[in-house]
Amino acid sequence: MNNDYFLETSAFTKRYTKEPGHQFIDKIFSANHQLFYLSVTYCEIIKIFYRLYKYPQINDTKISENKFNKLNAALSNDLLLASRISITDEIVSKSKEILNVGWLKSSIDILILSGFIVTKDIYRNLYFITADNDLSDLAKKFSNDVINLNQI
Amino acid sequence: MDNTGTIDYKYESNGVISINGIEIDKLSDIYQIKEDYIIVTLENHLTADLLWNGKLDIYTEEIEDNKLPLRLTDPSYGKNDLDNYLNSTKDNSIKIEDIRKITNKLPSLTGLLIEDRNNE
Repeated sequence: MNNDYFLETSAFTKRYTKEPGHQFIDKIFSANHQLFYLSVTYCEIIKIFYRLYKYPQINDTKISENKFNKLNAALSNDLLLASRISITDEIVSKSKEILNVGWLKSSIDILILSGFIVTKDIYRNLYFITADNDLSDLAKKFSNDVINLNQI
Repeated sequence: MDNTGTIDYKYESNGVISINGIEIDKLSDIYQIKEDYIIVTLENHLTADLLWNGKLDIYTEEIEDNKLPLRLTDPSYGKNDLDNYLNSTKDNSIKIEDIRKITNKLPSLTGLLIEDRNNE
């Protein structure tokens, strides 16, 4: 039986760089797996691209419009291969259960974990893929099906 | 998708309104008509989508007393717009190996993300 994968943003970004964990992401994109992401992941990734293109921070390397467009196109292509989960009121409501168990600095992280928990209620073979150690640690308190790309 | 063009609307004798020759059923009111967009009240989004795909840029509002419009409460509102955008930009996609050549000299994108989250 094929597994399903919920791609957390920090895992999704490995698709575009050759850094530890990218082989795993390539593998699940190339095989016949159902992939999910929470809608806000699009915002998080495109924000990184815009940061490098238009709003470079100190020590950032600015990228050209041409490179930005290529990154944007690759992201669009990949997002269309996955199923986008909307942030529903149920997902928002689930945040309080997560915070009752543990702390995350980013509110978006909490929503993403909520989105995974709700999606896993429906898709039982769903794995949470992340490269964010804090998120991984907290996710493991809700499910055994968590893959931390920093630990493979 | 080309959303530009002139909006030609008229009131029909049977009480409905046609926009660019497309008759809108169950239209209860028109709130604003501007040069490039129109805000209407429709009883369902199917009609709005049909019109949008008919190259009209339609923003719908369902206004009822003490009830927010779906645009503000439906998590999937705007799905077609986003999907259309993704479809329109994906065509310039190159091989993922070539993308990694672009990012080869950049810092870890995941690292930038985590840094951003930690600064929230």
